[in-house]
Amino acid sequence: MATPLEQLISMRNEAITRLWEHKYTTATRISVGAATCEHAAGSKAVWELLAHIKAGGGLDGVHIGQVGCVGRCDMEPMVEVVRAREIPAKYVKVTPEKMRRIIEEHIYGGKVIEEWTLNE
Amino acid sequence: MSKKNHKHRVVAVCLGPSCRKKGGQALFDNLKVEIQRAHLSESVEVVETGCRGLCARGPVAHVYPDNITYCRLTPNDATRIVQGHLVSGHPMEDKVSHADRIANRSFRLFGDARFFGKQLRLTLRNCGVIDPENIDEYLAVRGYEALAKSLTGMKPEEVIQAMRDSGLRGRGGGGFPTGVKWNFAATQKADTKYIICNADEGDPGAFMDRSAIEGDPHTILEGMAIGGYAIGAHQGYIYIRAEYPLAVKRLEIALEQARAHNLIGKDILGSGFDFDIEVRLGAGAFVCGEETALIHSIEGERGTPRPRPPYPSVEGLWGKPTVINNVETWANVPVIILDGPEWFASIGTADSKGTKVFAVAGKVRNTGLVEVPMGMTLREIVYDVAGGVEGGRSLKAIQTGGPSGGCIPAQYLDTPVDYESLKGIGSIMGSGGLIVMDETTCMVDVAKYFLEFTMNESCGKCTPCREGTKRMYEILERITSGRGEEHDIELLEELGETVKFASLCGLGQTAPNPILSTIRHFRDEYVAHTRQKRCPAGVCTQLITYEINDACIGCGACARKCPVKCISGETRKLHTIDQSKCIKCGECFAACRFDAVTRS
Repeated sequence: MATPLEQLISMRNEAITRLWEHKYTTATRISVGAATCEHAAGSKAVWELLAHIKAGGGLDGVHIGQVGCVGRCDMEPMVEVVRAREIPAKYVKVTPEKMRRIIEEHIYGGKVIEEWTLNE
Repeated sequence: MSKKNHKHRVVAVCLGPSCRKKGGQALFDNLKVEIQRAHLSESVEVVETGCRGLCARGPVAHVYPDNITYCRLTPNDATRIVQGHLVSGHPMEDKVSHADRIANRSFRLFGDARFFGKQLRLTLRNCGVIDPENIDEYLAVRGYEALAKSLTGMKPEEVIQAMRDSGLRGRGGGGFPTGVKWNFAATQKADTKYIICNADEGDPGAFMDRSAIEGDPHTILEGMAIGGYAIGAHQGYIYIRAEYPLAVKRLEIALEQARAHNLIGKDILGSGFDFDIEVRLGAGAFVCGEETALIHSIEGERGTPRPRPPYPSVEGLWGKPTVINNVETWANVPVIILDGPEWFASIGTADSKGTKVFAVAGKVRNTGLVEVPMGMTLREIVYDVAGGVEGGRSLKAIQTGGPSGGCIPAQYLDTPVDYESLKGIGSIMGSGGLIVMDETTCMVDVAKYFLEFTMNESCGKCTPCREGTKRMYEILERITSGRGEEHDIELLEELGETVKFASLCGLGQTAPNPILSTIRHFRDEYVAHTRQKRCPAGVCTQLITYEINDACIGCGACARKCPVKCISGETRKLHTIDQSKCIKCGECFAACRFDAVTRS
């Protein structure tokens, strides 16, 4: 009988394998802030836009997910974009309009919109 | 175990100049060979990275997604990393960099933004990082490993000893040593014992618990299960307010997933230990954050406190020994078990170990949630982490501990944040509210604001609190409306001390703190309100008058802004304010571009 720790380790390895298949191997990942504070600041609209694009067949090969808040109340809603071999970019005060431009310029164009990222 | 279970890891070896010189290249080459030999080439990637800033401890390597940093490696360690860690899943403990494990991760995720650079996120380590609704993400960052470790190789007494060695103290505000509390409950002879998580966060402007639960609910469950194992409890309750619907939802999802993985429930991970958790909703009464009132509320009784002793660890929920800790305390438990009590005790000051989460609000540039090591000064928190006072104004005071805490004036900014230091200057650590006030804040008004809150939230069971807060509020009301007398200040002090001394529970015992601390540090403002009937900060509306002086050019901007139309005058001529109609809103003061409207 495996010890609890051994069981946990194999459970973790399975979890990592699952995550790897669905998320980590995706070249681009978008994480939208999703806590009460983020929702109040308007992150739901950003999430719905992404889900809508995804449902319509867009954002192919892009993983969209949600995270809790990192504590930057004054900068919410926050959206993180991680692309392979790039430093993660945290966009602040994101609106659906801004999100569209981030998709155009950063996700597809490969160019970070510096002035919208967290810098302090 | 099959090889399939060990897919997909990245080993990042630093090949910066320093690490390369110390043997980093040979390590890199050896790793590649070893991985090939273990037939892991398809699932493990070895990559080189630039300098990670740990040159003194090089060569270093980082394993993703476990987020384990190894330091002081030699080329021969390649075999141990591959065979021990990647094949068997046991990290090479003696070379794991404990000091930088979590700090590294913050850097990777947040860059070197100043806001994060000075923080040390232990309890918030996963907030904003993982998907809180997917247990896989928590498992991937060593989630539930602390629970498994406790169940595998530690006796309950050893878990309690680890808590004592760590020096962890209750984060709800009281600061009672957690290990001692657990030991009380563990040594009680009883057929049933309980664990409670106090998530009844009620301080105005505080949102530490909400954010922690919404961002990483599994940590709380794991901490509680470890606590249950340590004291011999099989049932836990999370008491949370119904006004946090998202946090409740995430807790329910997390519980369901944890049960499905046999991490909560019967015979956890085959260890024979049973532990289940139930979420209980509170209706949002502030007094229910007090432990005995909270217990009454869970029992279905009216949420009012009772005298202690007996303490809940002896006689708690349904008369059984109960350990009750708040959210942040529980979130610290897995960290201590996982990274060791010695490491935890190395953070902080002599009597306050670890970190503290603060909800920084008020007149500050970057409002938000921060977690800093104990012993950091208030100055560092306000200026380095939170970006300083808004609009470049000067800082007047900091209020910690919410309605139970006190105001700390600017001259104490270099006080280190720990339980004893804050107590020494008339405030408390509290659960983590931190409100920054600038020169435009009236301290009497602040005291009145907090007192109005505690007065409304007093449960009414004991007279000193029920009547005392009401009377103190009336005096403050009198002072701020210009009807105060100078002896009112002494009366407030006397009444405050009495309420503090005679009240039944923490609510009443701490309610006078905002008044007593503002009188202690800002007595001159109280004197100005009572003797000169003047509010120095210009906040108390009934004590200020707006007038128009000769600089007026008669542009009419103020008259157009006035909501009660009490400003009159011909165009290009001096305007006047009808004092009998003026509501002192300050719109004219803000509208005038010629400094012709004065406030006194």
